[in-house]
Amino acid sequence: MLVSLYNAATGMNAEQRKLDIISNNLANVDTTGYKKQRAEFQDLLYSSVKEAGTPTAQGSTLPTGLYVGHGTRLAATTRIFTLGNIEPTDNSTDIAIMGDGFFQVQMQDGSIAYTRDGSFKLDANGRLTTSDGLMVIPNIVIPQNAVGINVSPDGIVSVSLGDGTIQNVGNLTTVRFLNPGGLKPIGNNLYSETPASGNPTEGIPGQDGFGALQQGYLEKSNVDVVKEMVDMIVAQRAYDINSKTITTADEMLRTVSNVKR
Amino acid sequence: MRGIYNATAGMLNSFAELNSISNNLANLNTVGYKKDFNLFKSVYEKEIRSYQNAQGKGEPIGNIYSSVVLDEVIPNLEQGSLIETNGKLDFAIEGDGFFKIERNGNYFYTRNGEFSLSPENYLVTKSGDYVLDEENNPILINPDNFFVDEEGNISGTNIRLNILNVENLNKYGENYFTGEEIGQADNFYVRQGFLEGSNVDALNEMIKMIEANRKFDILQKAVSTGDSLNAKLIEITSNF
Repeated sequence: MLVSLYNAATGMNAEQRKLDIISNNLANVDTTGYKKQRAEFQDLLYSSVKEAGTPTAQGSTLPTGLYVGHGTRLAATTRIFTLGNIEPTDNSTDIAIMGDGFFQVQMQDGSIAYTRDGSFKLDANGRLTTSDGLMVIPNIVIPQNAVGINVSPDGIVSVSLGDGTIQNVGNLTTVRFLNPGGLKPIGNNLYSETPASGNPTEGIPGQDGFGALQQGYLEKSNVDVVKEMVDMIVAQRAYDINSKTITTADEMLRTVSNVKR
Repeated sequence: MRGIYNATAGMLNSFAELNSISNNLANLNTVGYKKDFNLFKSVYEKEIRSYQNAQGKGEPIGNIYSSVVLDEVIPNLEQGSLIETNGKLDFAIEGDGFFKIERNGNYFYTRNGEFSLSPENYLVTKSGDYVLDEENNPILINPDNFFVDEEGNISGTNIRLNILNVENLNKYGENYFTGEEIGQADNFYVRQGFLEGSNVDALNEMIKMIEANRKFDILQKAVSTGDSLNAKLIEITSNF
């Protein structure tokens, strides 16, 4: 039947997927460390009826060809790793990364996942964990008699004990990826590495391009509500227009059936 | 009978027109997409003659075309609007030219500068194909310090993005064109942190769609009318 019907359907499908992505961004507008995603479209392959540059009977070549388009598709979703808003929380175990880098956490199965959500907690043994209880790597253990925790911008964790002495309990490191856009989101604000992201490079926060740590702050999501709303309107209108194409193609087919009385 | 075939050819052309329009509309949000328009041509030119000539041949009084067919689909290379993304790997070309892309030794051209990084740190497209520099080599980048100026020079290196003028463009899909290079483009600015939106004008396409739809209706009437005339003819002649 008409290629147009299918073209319009691919358009509606792609716009719907775009809306899915926008709605996920908006749903995570208050998620700590969330990085927004962007939908990227590609046109589908063209079927070539006449190729440009083929010789004509007159001895010249065709300047342009004749090809038929087959619509669009969602090609990729890219995660945008711009810095989110850094908001103060006055909580000593909340840590934001002011720039590039990820914290490492130990998953239940022993593998390592990466996160920018620095809303850490202490478990019963004084170990630094994520909100889900996953251990932070390198392991930091806060002694039971500590009265204050201090995290320096370069990751040195020290505690003040009740008697006024300061004790160094470990160094927090962060890792960086060549292509953070290639990380695989696994939910719960965590990412795992993929061949596309490259191997993690560990480093000291605040040095060699790693972002410095900021204790008592959390990085909020980098979703820009106004931009997402505008994108949503654009997606909805594009969806509308594609549905009009279907109506038109349908009308033309009805006209065809009227040719024979 | 000829009128019926003429009208039918026109109806098929309206379908072809709608194909292009629907593809344009489907790609309303495709980065770097260039809208298509169709060119039609009349074919099967036939001379018609009067019957008053003594030799019985008649005087030529003009030509009649028996059909119109779709001849070419031409991409309109008008600039799309620039969308700010702040992405280090997003590029828009303001002005002429195409990025040169390599896939397994084949070259493609694109206006979609939505690039990415390969695991080996090369600049690649979203389909994983290499973006080429002026020496036609893949571009190895330093992701920490990757800046490209308006002329396409990559900071900290002496390499430059290959921005080419291309003719005989054919669309391939995946935002790629094929075509013949006709040298370096010189009238352009490369904008890092921007993408070029599709140049499809929804209003214009909607009007073209209404036009195609109505033209189709009218041609259908022409077919019906031609058919009625034939019916009348048969009715009259059968009375003898």
